[in-house]
Amino acid sequence: MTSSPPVLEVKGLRTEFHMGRSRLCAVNDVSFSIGRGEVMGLVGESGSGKSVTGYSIMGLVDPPGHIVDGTIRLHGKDLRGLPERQMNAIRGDRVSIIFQDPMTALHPTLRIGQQMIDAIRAHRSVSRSEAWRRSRDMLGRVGIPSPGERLSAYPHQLSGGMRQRVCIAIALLNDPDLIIADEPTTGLDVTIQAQILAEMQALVAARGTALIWVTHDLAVVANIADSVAVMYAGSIVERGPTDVVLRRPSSPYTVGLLNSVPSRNQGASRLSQIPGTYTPAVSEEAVGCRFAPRCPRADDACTVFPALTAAATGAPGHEVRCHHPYAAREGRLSHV
Amino acid sequence: MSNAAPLLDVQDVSKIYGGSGGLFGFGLGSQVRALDGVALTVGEREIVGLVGESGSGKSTLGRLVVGLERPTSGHIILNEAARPGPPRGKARSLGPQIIFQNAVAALNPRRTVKDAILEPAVVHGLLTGPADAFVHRLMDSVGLPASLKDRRPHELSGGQCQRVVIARALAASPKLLVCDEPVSALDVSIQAQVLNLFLDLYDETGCSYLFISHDLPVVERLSHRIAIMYLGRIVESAPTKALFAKPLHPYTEALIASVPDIEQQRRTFHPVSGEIPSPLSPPSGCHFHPRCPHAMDVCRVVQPPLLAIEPGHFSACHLNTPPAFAAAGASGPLG
Repeated sequence: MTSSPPVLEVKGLRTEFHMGRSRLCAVNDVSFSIGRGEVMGLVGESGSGKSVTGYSIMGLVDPPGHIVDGTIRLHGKDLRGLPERQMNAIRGDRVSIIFQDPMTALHPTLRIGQQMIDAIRAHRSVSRSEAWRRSRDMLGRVGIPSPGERLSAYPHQLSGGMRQRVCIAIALLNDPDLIIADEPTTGLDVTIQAQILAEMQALVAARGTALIWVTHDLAVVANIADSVAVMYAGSIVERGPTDVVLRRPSSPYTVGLLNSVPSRNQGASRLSQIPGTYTPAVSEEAVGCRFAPRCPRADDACTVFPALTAAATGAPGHEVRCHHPYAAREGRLSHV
Repeated sequence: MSNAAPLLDVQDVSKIYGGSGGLFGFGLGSQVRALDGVALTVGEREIVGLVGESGSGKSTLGRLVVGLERPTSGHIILNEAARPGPPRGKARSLGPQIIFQNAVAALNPRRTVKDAILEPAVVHGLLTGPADAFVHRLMDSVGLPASLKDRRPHELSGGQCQRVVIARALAASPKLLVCDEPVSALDVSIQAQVLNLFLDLYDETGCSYLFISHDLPVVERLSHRIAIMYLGRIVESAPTKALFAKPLHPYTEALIASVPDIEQQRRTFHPVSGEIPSPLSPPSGCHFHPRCPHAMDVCRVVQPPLLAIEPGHFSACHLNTPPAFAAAGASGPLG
């Protein structure tokens, strides 16, 4: 979406989990790129492969999981197949990740300060006192009051919101080019979520950090992301600029998902719903469009797995993976 | 919603945990006032939404209503229709039922769907006909195919488990259903299905709901009336439309402003500052004053009473001036 070279370019990513004889394909043909200072929302329901996509980029997929195809280029350099030592140098330095549950992401028996100083000194040859100073400044910047004192606290002494702020601070410490945020506000109260969204917005804007925000919450994406990619059963089914995808969705799944959001259904007697149940694990043999069994527009053509093609809106970068996408006007959501 | 006694009348209920020495003397003297003088009514065929963040006491109130715990002070009064019927009577109600957030944990992993639904009916002698017909009727009413009756919880999806739990609650033909975050753990598309189920069941059974949630849009969609809780107190309660059209309490305003709005693109958040204080040492006066942008000296000292500011619209804030009719004794959230 930007003319400058992308920070991250993912092409044809395929991640499988080999369970005994069966192979489950968690991520299938995922491609996207993200530029400096750009915020991309990666949206999907549980099991859609959004987190595994994030872990694949970070090189955090462990057996039985394997990245079997595709490239992950950070500033043009392929991260896939990089030796562990080189990957360690990049993780936490050029690319960092924020997990959903800060209590398991932080070490329970180390003080916050120690964990932050370690994160800096793993990548920079600075003195302990300098690392301590940087840590304190960063805690202040993510909205933690009296940061100097908090450095000597243990994770259990902080509230959930404060712990997540510490994780965000650690992710930002080495001024990374890319941050992957994996549902970082899902477990938090709504007033705290609003605070963290505001802080993240300001921080990435000030530093030009690219941000991938993995979430199931379309409303959060609407508010912070420039572009959005919607995943279903391992594949991106639609992507494009946030306002285009959310206002003029093209994929039947995106339309169904948006229509199920309660706030879109005020006044109607029932909520609009997607029929059927979601089957996340996709075996290797599965053919055709994964959404077809639940799709109101499915027909014989849908037995062939569709490719991502330009959507009818003609908006730059708006693409859809569907044989029968909604036309530019049809997909417009009617407000009941 | 008629003038008759409401289905549920919660009168000045407080619940205090701890404080009596504790185990081996730990936690001596530390008390958590989970509920502090809460008053709430639920009328016949009424859906009341109870909204609050973690630690607000909303789940505690739900547990008190179904009798899982006893209030430290105050009264919880159920009217004739909502009370449990005489023992061993046929087709009687067992009183209010509750549905929890984690449906998988609420089901015995070793027992089948049929067993789960049948158990309360068998134990309490509610069975009015053949067991199979009873189970089929309930499974049908929550949209579960009868073919699932021999499955165990691990063979079902999260949405299906939630439906089983709802069917089990309906087996006791309650007049009041307490739903404690029943859709929070579900994906958006499944959440819509389960919310529709609640709406359908409301139409079919005429059951009232006390719908507990932290999710304002969900509650807005479902409820006739909403009560907002903060640190053990109800700070505002009003008919749903009035609450969103004109929130009177600064906390309600902050809460509404914090919810990301899907219709709004790329907005800047103006979040309310600070965190929810620990219920172990709540702030003096109005609990919200440390975070309130309008806090005055009086807020630090005096707890504002919950007053009717407009007919049916109650708020507990020193900024709200009750009109003249409130002075004539119309205080407390009457149904």
